[in-house]
Amino acid sequence: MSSPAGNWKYLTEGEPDLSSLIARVATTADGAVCTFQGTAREQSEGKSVRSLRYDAYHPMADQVIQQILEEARTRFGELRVAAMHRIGDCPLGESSVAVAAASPHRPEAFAACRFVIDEIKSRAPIWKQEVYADGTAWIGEPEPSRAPQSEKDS
Amino acid sequence: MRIRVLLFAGLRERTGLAETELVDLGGEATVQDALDHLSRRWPFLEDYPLAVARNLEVVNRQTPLADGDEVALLPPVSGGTV
Repeated sequence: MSSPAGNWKYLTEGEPDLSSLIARVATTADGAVCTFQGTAREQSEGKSVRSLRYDAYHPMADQVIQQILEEARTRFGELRVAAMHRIGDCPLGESSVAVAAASPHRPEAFAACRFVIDEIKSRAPIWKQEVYADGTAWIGEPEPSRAPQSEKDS
Repeated sequence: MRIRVLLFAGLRERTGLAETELVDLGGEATVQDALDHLSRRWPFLEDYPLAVARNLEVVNRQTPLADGDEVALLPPVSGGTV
């Protein structure tokens, strides 16, 4: 169906490797390395989650994450930053996304790390599906029953 | 003109399709025209809060389409409201 995640710079089919992200960004000019990992949580709005699954529009997601990293570098001055998002299955407790930001001082590293994860979550075309014992749900998907005027004649 | 249409996540589930093609759009068609065609096939799309990307860039409904374009229908993303 989709191409292997190996063709993409910022998408991976396994667990994002935080230590390799850190190795890519940290230099001797840096006094701070800030990292973020998003992990698969077992509770979601009262429901018991078995695992997560991520779908993506691969080429666009890759391009959007690259744009976000470039924006962070423009915004936060001297900064090295890297990110990787998981696609496909994600078992409970494992990470689905990782960000590492290195800067001479910690305010920029913290701010960049926060900026990158928030922007990825709101702009990258990547969708999360929760898998329960008795079904699945795409997060963000409107409920069919609550979609206004869905019954109307065309 | 011929437009390739991609569907993801919940839209893929509801329509049962990962992609489809529009072949009967006129020469001056916009994104809205493409959505109108698709809504005739899947009426729920009319009220569905989707974003549209044309050749990997998010575009508005008035954007003109060209032959061979790839149009992706993007459901709301999981972190969109955080």
